[in-house]
Formats: sequence, structure tokens, C-alpha cells
Amino acid sequence: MADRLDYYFRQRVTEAELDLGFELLEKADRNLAADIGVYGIVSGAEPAPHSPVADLTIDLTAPGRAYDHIGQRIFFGTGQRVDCSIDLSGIPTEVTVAGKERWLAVFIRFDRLLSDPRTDGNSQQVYFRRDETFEFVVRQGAEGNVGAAAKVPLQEDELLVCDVLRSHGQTQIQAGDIDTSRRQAFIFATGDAVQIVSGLWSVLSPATETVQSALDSADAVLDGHFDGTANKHPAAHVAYTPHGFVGASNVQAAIDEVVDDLSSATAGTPGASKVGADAVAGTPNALPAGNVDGQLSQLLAWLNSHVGAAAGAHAASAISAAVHNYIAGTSVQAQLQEIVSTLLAQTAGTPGSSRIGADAVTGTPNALAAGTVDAQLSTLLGNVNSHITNATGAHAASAISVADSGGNLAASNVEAALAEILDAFEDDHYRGNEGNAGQHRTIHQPNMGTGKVLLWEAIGVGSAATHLRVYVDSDSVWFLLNTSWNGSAWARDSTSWFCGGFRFSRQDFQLFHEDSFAATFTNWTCTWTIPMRSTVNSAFEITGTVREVGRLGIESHNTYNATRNMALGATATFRSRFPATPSSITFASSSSYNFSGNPSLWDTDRDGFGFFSYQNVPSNSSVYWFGSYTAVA
Amino acid sequence: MAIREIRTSDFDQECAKCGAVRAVTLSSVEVGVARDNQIDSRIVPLPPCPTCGATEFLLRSPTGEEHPTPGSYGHLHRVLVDELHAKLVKANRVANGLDAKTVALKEPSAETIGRYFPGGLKLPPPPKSDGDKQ
Repeated sequence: MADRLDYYFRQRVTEAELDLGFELLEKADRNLAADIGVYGIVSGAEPAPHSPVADLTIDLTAPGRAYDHIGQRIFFGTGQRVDCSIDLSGIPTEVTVAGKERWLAVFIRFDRLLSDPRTDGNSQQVYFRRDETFEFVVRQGAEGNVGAAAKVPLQEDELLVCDVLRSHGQTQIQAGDIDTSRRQAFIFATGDAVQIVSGLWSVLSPATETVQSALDSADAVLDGHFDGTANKHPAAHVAYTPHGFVGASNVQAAIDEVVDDLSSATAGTPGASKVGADAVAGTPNALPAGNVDGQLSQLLAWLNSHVGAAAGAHAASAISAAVHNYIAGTSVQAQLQEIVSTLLAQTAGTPGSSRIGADAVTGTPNALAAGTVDAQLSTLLGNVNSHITNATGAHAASAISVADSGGNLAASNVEAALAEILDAFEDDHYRGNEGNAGQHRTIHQPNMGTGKVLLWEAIGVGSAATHLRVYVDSDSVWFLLNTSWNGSAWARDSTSWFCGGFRFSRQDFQLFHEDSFAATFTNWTCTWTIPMRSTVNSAFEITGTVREVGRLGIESHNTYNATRNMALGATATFRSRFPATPSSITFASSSSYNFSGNPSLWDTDRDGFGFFSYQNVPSNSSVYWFGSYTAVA
Repeated sequence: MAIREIRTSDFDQECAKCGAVRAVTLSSVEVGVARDNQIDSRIVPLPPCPTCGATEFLLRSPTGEEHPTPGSYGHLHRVLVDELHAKLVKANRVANGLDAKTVALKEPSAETIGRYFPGGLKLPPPPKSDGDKQ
């Protein structure tokens, strides 16, 4: 309600009285707004950089509605552009010092727009209409350091639209320069002015029964709830929609189910089977998309296969190794190669043996100091050379043991072995400290068995042709070349050579020859025997392949004075006794006279043959035939 | 060195004097050497060597005389001569005055021939040298 004026009948009202009527009504409106506490920008007047091209003005959206602190209505129906380059006094707002900034405050305030001018009774010009309008006020604060400039204080009869930040050298106001945190938005009524009834509330307990207090209480509850310090509620009271392998319907049960499923070690449905895994590329192995359980199983299989591989797991170069001592390689392959190369090195000063340590070795008269194998080898070589080059007295022969793997000696050291050998040697030889040192004394041989026993064998110059053996049996001594007796036959040393020899006994002497080249044989091709004890013992008796060539001849004379047919004949004796009657005898003439053809053979045996011929010999002429015979038996 | 090989109608003979080898046909040879009224049917005179004129006489081995070294060259040649002698007599190649039917033979047995001449009635000469001179 408003204060009222009661105009009465026939009252002559004045201008002031009419104006008072409007003022009282207007005051009642504004009192209502002031009493309720309504003020602020209701809508519109949203600041933004000027469009389309930003400059030092800002645009405000329309329509804009607001009420100031005394309830005066502010309204504009079209978009507004506010110049921020100067303040309400026309002073530029620019920041003059680098490193400084300045806050501007853009306010809106109520105003009256006078219009419809008229001339009153006093001949004064007055405006019949006084419409509600507005104006923008730009105020600027003092320059301050960047981040420390003070904002413009709020004004009692103005409403703050926004703050604008000016900086040094600024030519445009961007969105980031506009701050609406202090914007005086519309307030309908203060919470303290509205009462509430909290008697049945179970959570909120406002200090006073006002909206403000109730909201404060709600804020405290929510603050504790959101901070987790108070007013928490069980997860079981939070609904959850079953999804995937989780069938629970509240958060507590869902989490329990997730935990239980993920921690499950049950074969076939372990927790890892609930966790998905994408495909993982790799060479030589790759993992297909699946779940963690499947991929873990696959990885374990590969790992076991790799770890259990007896060979060819992977290249040694793939195994890293720390640098150590003189080994500079950084992989097992490189270090192994380096070790092998180093150990094989024959470089003077740094041979492989210099890389191998060796502990001290005690001994007398020589000992080895701890060092390297190289150093100890050098020491040993020196010791050995010194020992070997000792001209005399290196050590006693009795200190040298005899292994005697063949079991030939009773002695166990060189001294005793030499004595033992010399004891045996001197039976048939002259000792080294005697005249004819080393030469044979009488050769003694014991009974060496039965059959043909080998007494002596000499290879001579190494030729099988003169490989000499001497055998003895119960009757004879045999001297043989290129053959030996194998117990049942003669065996050639070389099948490229004849065999030969001789044998003598108390009753005969025999020469041998064999020309078959057979590996073994039992009969000699030829033998020549002198039967010393036989009744006929003047010549060799021959066996085998025998061919004898001898001379023979016949001559006579026809003393008659006419030609006569003369019988001529003679005999020939073989030089040796043939083994049998010859099977072939050939006569060849060397000279003849008055002789036709050759003689004919007659009366042949193993000792010789006869021959004859009938020739017609002229009177008082000689006849002769001289030639040779060749007999084969 | 006498006979080398005996074939169906001839045989090879190497002259002991000059070494010439020739084929002698059986039809050119007769068994027996006559002296006055005696004929030695063991002897087979061969034609003189056309090269040197030497004359060879083959002698069939005496009855009852066995060679002391069987298998030797001398024994093998004796077997060939006995075989040739028998072959000539059987072919009635005998000298005048001899009756082939009454000529004593010493023909080798088939066993002897098979044993000593498995490759035929051939008798190569014995080697003349050994070692690197073969």
C-alpha cells in the first residue's frame, strides 16, 4: 500500500499536489522492494568482448533488467556497447607503466529521461514526460603490480555489471579480461527474512528457524558428507544396476562381488579371467585379445618353454652383462667372445695365460709364487731349461722311476733297470767299458722248440729280395731269402720277387729256387742237391724246371777211295743228374763238314743221351758235326 | 723251350736255340726214330727250325718212371709231350716200321690233364726275372 492523497470536490490542485500523488505511489513501490530486499540484475546485461572485432569496448546482452537498492527499475531493450577506454570522468583507463595493471568496474544505474517539452504558466519550459532510463558508469581503480591491483569498491546506488582488467599496452578486451565474480545478480529476498518450520526434520538442525539457517545447516551436512568426515551413508544404500559379471544391485554388494571375483583363485574362473586384455603385438610372440588369465597362461607357457629350452633359447647377445675387470662387452655373447679372444691371445705381454690366476705351489728345490699361469709357465720353463742344460748331476738315475708297462723288468728305477739290462746284455756281448764294446760274444740260443725254428732274421738293406732268415729243424739248417715258414708252407715276404736259399745237413747240401710269385708255396721250382752220402754223389741232382745246354760233337774220316755211307755216333753226359728222363732235347749245329742235317737222338735217360747219324762221306774226306744240346726235364 | 700249346691239329713249339715260336701241324710230325733195324718209338723228332736249323726231339717219359716233382715246369712239359705222343700214335702218325697199335703209350689221365691244365693244354714259359725286372 501507499500513502494516499484525498483530493476533494472543487479542490483546485496544484502541480506539486499532483506530483505528490505520483511520488507517494512510486515511494510505495520502492518501499516494498526495499523492505523485501529486492535488488540486482535480474537478467541480461551479460558482458562479452566486442564483436566482431574486439577493442576497448565490451558488449552487453539485451534485454537487460535490474533493480537498484532503492527499488528503481533499470531496463534496456537493445544490446549495449560500453566504452572502457575512459572512465565516467573522461579520463583514459590505459595502464601507463609496464608490469602494472588496473581494474575497471562497469556499473549500471537508474536515470530519468526527460522529454515532451512544454511551456508552463510561468512561460518556463518544462518536460511533461520523465521516463525511467539508465546509464553505464565506468570507474577505474589505481594501477598496481600485476596480480596485486585493487578492484573498484561497489557503489550504493549502482549495480556492478562486471570488472574489466586493463594491462600495459592493451588494445583489446578479451573474454579473459572480464570478471563477473562480483557481479551484483538479482536478490529476491535474504534468507534471514524467510522463516521455516524444522520440527520434523531428522538431518538438518538449523540454528534458527530461517531459510538462511536451514541452508547453512544443509551446507554443513553436505560439506561433511562430501568431505567424507560426517553424515556418510553405507555403500549398500547406493543402488547399482547389474552389469557384466556383477549381478549385485547396490554398490556395497557390487564391490564385494568385484573383489571376490577378482581375488578368486578358483581353477577355471580366477580373478585374472575377469580382467580384459587387449592384443599385444610382438615378435616372435604376440598376444591375442582376451583376458589377463589367458594371457598370463600363454606368457607362462612361453616363459617355461624358454627357460626349459636345452638349446637355442635365444642369442647370447640378447643377455646383458655388466662390464667387469678387463671385460668391456655388455652382452653375454660379447663377453664370451672377448674372454675367448683374450684367452687365445698370444700377444707378448698380454697372452691368454696372463688372464688366468694361479695360487702358490710349494716345492723343493723349486716353488711357484702366486701369480698368473703365464708367470708360472715362465718360471717352470726356466726351471726345466736349467734342469735340462745341467751338464752333469741333474739328479740320480735311481730317482727316475720305470713304469715298465710291458712287464719286462724287475727293477723299478732307471739305475736298477740299467744294471738289470746290462746283466742280461753282457752274457752274449762285450760291455761298454770293455774292449769291442757292444759286439757279440758267442751267441747262445736255447732249445727253441720243434719243427722249423727261426734262429736269425735280418732285413739287411730293407729289401724283401734279401730278407734273410735262418731256420733249423731236426735234420738241416735253412738259409732263405724272401720267405718264411708259417708252419705248413713257405710264405713270401714280397710276391714281386723270387724266393731262394740253401739247406745243408749231415748228409746232403741243397740249393732252392722258387719263381711262381705265389703268396705261399710248398714245393720249390728247382732244387740242386749234392747227395753227400749217396752212392752217386759226384754231381748235383736237379729237380724242377731244368734246362741244360751242353756241347757235343762227332767227327770221322772216310779213308776209302770212294764215297761211303758212314755211321757216326757218340754219347753225352749231363752235367747234373736230371730228376727224370728229359722230355725234350734239341740239337743245334755250330759247325759241320760233309754232314747233312743234325744227328738223331738215341738212348736217353736222366744222366745223358746218345746220338747218331748216317752220312755219305766222299772219298778220303773228313766228316764232322759240332754243336750244342739243350735238354729240358 | 719245347712245346707251348697243343691244339686239335697242331701245336706251338719254341725253338730252344733261337727262341722262335712256330706252329707245327700234327700231319708234319711222326713218332719214332729209326737206327738200322731199330726204331725208338718214344722219340718224336720235330722238323728243323726254319730259323736256325736246330732239331728238337721230344721224348715220351719212360714206363714206370714218375716225375719226382709233380707240378714243376719239367713235369708239366713231360705231360704235354706224353699227351702229344699219344695223340700222334692214335692218329697213326708213326714212322715206317712202327705199328701204331703196338706202340706203347703213356697218355696222361683226364684227371691229370684237368688238374694241371684246367685252362687247356697250354704251358707258358717260366718267368725269366723278378722284382722290378718282371
